[in-house]
Amino acid sequence: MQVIRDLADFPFLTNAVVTSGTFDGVHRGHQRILARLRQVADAVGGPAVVITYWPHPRLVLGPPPTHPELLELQLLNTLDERIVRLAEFGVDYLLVMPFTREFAQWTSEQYIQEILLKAVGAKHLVIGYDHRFGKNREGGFEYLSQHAGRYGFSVEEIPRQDVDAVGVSSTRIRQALRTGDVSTATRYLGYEYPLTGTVVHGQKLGRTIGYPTANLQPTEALKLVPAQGIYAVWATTAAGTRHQAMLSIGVRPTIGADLAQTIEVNLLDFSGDLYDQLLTLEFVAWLRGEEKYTGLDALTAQLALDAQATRAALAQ
Amino acid sequence: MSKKALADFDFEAGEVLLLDKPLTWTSFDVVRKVKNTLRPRKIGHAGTLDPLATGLLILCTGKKTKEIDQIQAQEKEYEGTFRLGQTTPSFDLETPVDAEQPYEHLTEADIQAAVATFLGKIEQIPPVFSAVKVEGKRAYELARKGEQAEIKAKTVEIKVFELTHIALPDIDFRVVCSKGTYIRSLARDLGVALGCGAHLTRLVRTRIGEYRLADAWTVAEVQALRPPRPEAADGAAPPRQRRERLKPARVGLDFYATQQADRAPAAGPDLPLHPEEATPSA
Repeated sequence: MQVIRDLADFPFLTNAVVTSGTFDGVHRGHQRILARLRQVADAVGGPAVVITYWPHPRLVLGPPPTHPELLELQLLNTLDERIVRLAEFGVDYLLVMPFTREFAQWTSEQYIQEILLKAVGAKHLVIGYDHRFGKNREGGFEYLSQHAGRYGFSVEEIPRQDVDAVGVSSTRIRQALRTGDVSTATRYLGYEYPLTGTVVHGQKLGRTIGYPTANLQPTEALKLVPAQGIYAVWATTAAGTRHQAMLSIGVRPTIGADLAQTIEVNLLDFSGDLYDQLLTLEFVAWLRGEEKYTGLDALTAQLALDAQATRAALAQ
Repeated sequence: MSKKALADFDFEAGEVLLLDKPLTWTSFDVVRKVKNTLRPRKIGHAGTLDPLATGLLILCTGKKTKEIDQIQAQEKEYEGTFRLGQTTPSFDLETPVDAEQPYEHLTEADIQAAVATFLGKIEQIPPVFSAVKVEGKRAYELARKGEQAEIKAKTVEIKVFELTHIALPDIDFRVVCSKGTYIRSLARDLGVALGCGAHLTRLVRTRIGEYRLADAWTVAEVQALRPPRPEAADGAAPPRQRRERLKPARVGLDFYATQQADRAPAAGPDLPLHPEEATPSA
């Protein structure tokens, strides 16, 4: 899949089959739409093109999001994760349009001319009933269908139920991750939820009880961090090695009161310096909620059990 | 594919016989019926269907029994119906409903989103009520004894999963899948994904690889091939004593039969509900 981040660099394609969307998560609902895109592309013998935007339009436009809106804006994928996932579903070209204030001012006519006709060379659009583009979201599916003849492209509608299913899947995944329901999230995503961060310096207490942890600072501020608790995860280092690991997201009540939330992971069977490197986690299973133990000895004993549970969960 | 006349088949040498399995018959009932009718030296089936499923069942005779493994490995296509809001232990109608949960709150988008999670390669645990072996014993033997069998999950591929009609609590579907896929397990798993439970109420196998149900023969058509019995004449041998045959164990079908007792027979016009109820054969 070719990724283009500047409209000027997009190779003009004849006979392109195009869809557009946020595709945050590239989950099962999205995958169904991408499969239809692929079907149409194969039928007409043209490349499959996805147009997506970064950053999220809602952050660039209008007043600051309210709290509920912010919760909805928490991303299931970073841009890199989105790109990696889209590549797996038969997309030939991905246009990542930088969503600037200036771009937000384009009329729908400008959008159609500059992007679809002049840059991409779209001949077939695969569009959902809720697709919106151009200033004030004035352009949509009806407009494109009515004027398709004038523009010289065909417009195919994504079935309404497939479009609605996308929203349902996104909501389900967010709800699941916010309650630690890893298995539902995995099922609706179609893969294990990833979280990438830089390893930063923590309090360095873990090593004193035999369980050193890497403290993660997520690379993307808007990335949705799952509910507090202990999880079994895969951890992949910058060097590319993959390790079984147990993860704690929480405020560490055994250590102290009113501590800030940390995301810290202990890699089983690993020793080495990971500071300032990227580490990627994949959530496999929820083990338990966070608890306050009577002392470090009790905590250490529990961590041994967690390590066993982690191995068991990852063996499947 | 133009249908060769059944009478032109050379079952002794070897044929691939496409059959439409009647409702409530086990696949082995069908094999036995065809064997007794045609008396080939060698006959086998290329993939069973549950008694409550109908549709394409492929038998191979003579030299063509060599093709059985290859046919069984092909992808399968099914049509059927799931009922939401109720679960049964066998995931189909062979056992009574054991739990009910609300489903009315589900929108079509909810259902489509859940259906989408089953596309591609998935892990599936076969039903306990099945022929899968656990530690040498058939899972259904353990199930009949009430033992919980720990069956390992298998990776299968769902290539197509479409809903053709939704009229809650029933949803009609079309599935194309790899060999080893249990549509009953798909019913159970979809019910879990939706949170309301589900079971399979209708299943028709419409295709195995390139073989289609439209080209299949009914059991009655095969039965019609039997040479007529010579009339018993004076001096002919006296009629044989009919051996008292033990009815084969039919897991759960007794329950199904009682459910159907008030209704008209579900089988075709010229076929009985149970293969043994046919006119006595030799």
